[in-house]
Amino acid sequence: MEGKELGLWRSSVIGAIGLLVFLSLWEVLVRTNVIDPFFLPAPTQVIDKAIQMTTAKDAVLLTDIKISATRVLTGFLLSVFVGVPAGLIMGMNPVIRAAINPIISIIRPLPALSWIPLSMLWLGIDEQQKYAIVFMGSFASILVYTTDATMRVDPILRRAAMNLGASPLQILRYVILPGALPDLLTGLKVVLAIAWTCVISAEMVGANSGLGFRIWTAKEWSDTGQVLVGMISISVTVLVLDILFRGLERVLLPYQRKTSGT
Amino acid sequence: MKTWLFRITFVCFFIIFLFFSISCTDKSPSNQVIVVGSQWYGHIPVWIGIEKGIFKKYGFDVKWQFIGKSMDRLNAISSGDAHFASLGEIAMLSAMAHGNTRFYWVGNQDIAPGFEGLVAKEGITSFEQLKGKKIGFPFGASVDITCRLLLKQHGLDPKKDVRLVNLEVGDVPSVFQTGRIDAAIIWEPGFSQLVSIDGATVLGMDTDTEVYKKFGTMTGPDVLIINKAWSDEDRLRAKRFMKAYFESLEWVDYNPEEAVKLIQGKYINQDLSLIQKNIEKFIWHDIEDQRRIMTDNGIFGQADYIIRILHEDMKVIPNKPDFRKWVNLDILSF
Repeated sequence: MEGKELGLWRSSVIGAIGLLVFLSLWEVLVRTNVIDPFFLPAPTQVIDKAIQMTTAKDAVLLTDIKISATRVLTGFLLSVFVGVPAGLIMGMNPVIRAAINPIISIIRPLPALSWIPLSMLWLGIDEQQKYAIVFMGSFASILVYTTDATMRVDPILRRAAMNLGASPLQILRYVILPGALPDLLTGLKVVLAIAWTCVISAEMVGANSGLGFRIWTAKEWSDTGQVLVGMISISVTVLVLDILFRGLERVLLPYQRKTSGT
Repeated sequence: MKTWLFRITFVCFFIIFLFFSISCTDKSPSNQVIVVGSQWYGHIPVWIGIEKGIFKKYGFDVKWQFIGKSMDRLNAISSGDAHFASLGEIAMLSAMAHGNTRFYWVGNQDIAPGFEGLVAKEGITSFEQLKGKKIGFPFGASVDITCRLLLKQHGLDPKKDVRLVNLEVGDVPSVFQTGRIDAAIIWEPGFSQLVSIDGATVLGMDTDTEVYKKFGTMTGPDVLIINKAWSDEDRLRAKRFMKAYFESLEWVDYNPEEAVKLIQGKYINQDLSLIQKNIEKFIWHDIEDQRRIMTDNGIFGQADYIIRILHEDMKVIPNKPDFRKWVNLDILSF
């Protein structure tokens, strides 16, 4: 049993049973008042709340998911467009790397939340500010992932390409990019999840919509059911984006699929 | 398989051990009382109780902890980590509507009208000019209702005619100053900051609302709540604490100037003269006042009115809670 991989079907069934047991236990504990429903509403109450928020006249839940997802993807894609080329350059050029690394080391540990006061002063409270928070929260990580992925490409391959007369652009196109892509995509997947934590911070203030706004407002009105609906919506949305990302991985890295046998 | 079972059992036992060791070490001494609050003047009796040693005289070691928002304070009380707080009535009523039964409502320590107002930036001098403009304030606070009432009174629909923007309490003055919003509504000390900005015009105050005209109170008056479990655990201790609190409140009432000097700089960052000017407008409710105020002819009528607004107009609470079930005045009989 130990060490053997479960098939897709079996692992899905076991996963579903595990989830069902967890939800049933949760429901029973709340219904029998072991857990105060004010602190943690039962799953059925959360589902009721989600239905209420989805079927309401303005269907706030779906609108919020759409708005938050747009903010995440905009900020994240901006980070990719800036961070990936910059990371490739840093990975290939030790001088630039040495010059920029200290700045990145200062920016990288800053949580998205810490950017809120300054971003509000600089950009106001409109959409640009939300994109900026996501950008600031994900840019440094993307840069570091890309730099590391670039540096991990076998230097022998680079030298071989150079000896064969390849130009720097050709080395980038035919050696660095294909070599760094697997690690880079793994990094981007991680950062995409981080970007979601950023948007929740960004929507704490100066927002009138989005899952973060909904969660924070629900807290102000003591509506724990709505808080949970917001949280679960984030998890589900990230899960869907993760599946889409895996699809992208399969398209961009067909050779990996063949070697890993999946 | 056996190894697998052993690992799971080990992890379970480890988690249980960790849980128990945390809950055992977390017990605070029985005379220690954690009081939570903000920089609002309504907390002055607690600060004075600490500074003048009134709580100590009654055998309490009171620890003050800053928590800016009413609902966060209420959650701290509900969790059991804090024991006593003053907060806005609206947060308390919302928590009641959502079935939070972890606290008692034990008083209304003050009336302080004229401390929150709607301020517009230069060029906007009337409500009509607010049409299509952005108004910033913290959602879910008393100003949320004050703002909506003022807009309605002047024929504006809060949902259609203006854009309401949710801001943190502390961010309201700075965002207003940058001109990113056209108007803002907040209570003291933020209100004074808004008014001091060049060209700012006060469009309306909480005293202009129908709530004030009807009941003579702010939209979300200060209320006192106490952790239910802590209070039930030792009724005499809870009564003793409330006695100390109201003794402190009376001292503030009789010695406002001295009180302000004791707290300025330590609990509240405002000019001495400004605090003194503001504190003059405060009407403190002592222990005797509580029996008159905590009635249907007093604050209860106002609470019923606010509940109707929250449930029927704003639709932010799922029901109309019977808040009288949370009231515990027995705790005030010494």
